[in-house]
Amino acid sequence: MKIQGLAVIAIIIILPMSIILGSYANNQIKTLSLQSQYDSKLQNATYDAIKAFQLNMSNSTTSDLANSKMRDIEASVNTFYSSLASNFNMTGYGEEVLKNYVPAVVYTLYDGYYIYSAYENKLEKDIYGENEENATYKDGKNINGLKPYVYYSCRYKRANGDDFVITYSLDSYITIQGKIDGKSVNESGYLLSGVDYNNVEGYYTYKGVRIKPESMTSKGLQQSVYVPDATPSNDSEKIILIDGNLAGSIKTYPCKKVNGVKYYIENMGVSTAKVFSMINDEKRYQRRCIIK
Amino acid sequence: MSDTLITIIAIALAAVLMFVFPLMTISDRTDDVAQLTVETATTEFVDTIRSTGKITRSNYDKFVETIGSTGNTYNVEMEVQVKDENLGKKVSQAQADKIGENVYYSVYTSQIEEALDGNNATYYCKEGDIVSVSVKNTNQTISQQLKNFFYTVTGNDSYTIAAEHAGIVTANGN
Repeated sequence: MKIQGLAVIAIIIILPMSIILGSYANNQIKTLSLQSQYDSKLQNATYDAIKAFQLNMSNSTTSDLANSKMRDIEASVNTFYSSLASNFNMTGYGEEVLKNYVPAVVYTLYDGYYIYSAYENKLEKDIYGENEENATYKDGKNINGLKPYVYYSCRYKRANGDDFVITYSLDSYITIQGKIDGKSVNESGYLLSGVDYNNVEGYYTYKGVRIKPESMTSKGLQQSVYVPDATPSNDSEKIILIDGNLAGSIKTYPCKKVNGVKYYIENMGVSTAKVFSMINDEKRYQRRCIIK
Repeated sequence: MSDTLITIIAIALAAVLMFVFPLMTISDRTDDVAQLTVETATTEFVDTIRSTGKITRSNYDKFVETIGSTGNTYNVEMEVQVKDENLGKKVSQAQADKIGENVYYSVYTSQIEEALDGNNATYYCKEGDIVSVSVKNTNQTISQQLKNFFYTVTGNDSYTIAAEHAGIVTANGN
């Protein structure tokens, strides 16, 4: 065979191969660039949604109420979809179209999460057994909406009769509610690892650091509080007079703050010791308090 | 006989390899350049609207001229999503300052062009409106024609040069 023949055959073999390989490589490049485009669009939309949620939460005085929080989240979801729609340059019904491509939007909050997703609407028949004509959504219609709040909780049931629920949070704060060793328990606090209790001498060590016991009567744990109609019992406490008449005095008590309320201990160390808190300048005694 | 045939095939192959392939590659690059130009012009146009709060005749003409300078014809679609501040009519419970509870209504290309042809030659937007512009080529570029000739993958309606940009208006135009 002549050299031209070889050249023609070589070209006929190589040309289709190079065309196919070239288009394959092109496809790969296009896929990658499309992927990164989608990623950045999705990230932008998520950023916008979170920003809207933060701003709405901080500008609202009722953002800790479930109803208001759900409204804030729905507004945030709206922001997400409109941001996504404008990123994709969708016009007109863009948001509604995009909802079909987003299976769920999850908001993970401190102690639980909300899911925004499509669900089938259930519409009960009215008392006459007829369908409600004026309802916005019909029975069985697929709509998007916020589902009820789900806590990060888990129920534990043991063979020895223990039955309790632990509610977790994003940090180490947990709540335990239920029955342990036949006793009802409702406790919450931070779960710390690395805490050891020395049984013999009775002290705690946390990560190797010894925690000394604190006495409630020590100065550092005392607080001054205004008590109406009271007289000072020592020199450090002050009397308050209005127009020469006794109004009350500022007294010092051992104090502990529990759930945002300051509790003071009266007659510390004596059998008549009592615990009270001050509400509207009035002493409120706590019933059945055991002071250790 | 077979020598002549092979020579003819060789010449044909050589013509394809030496003439058509470079032409295809170069026309592809030309499209890339046009794509880049159109993308830049669209982004610039939308960002001008966003920062000034208005669409002016002169800006629009300049934009159309810039994309026209690539040698292709384009279809320009504009949409302004106007933020409705009187929410009470549409939803029972909403605040105007709550982000995400806003209601928008849309104004499209023909309505915007009507305003551009009016006395003021300007379409005014306000803060919070969303403006989006998308551009597609309507003619067949040389690269499209060549591809159609060789492997007929692109139909007549498809486009190769397309750009789109959208954003929130940040100023009240007046």
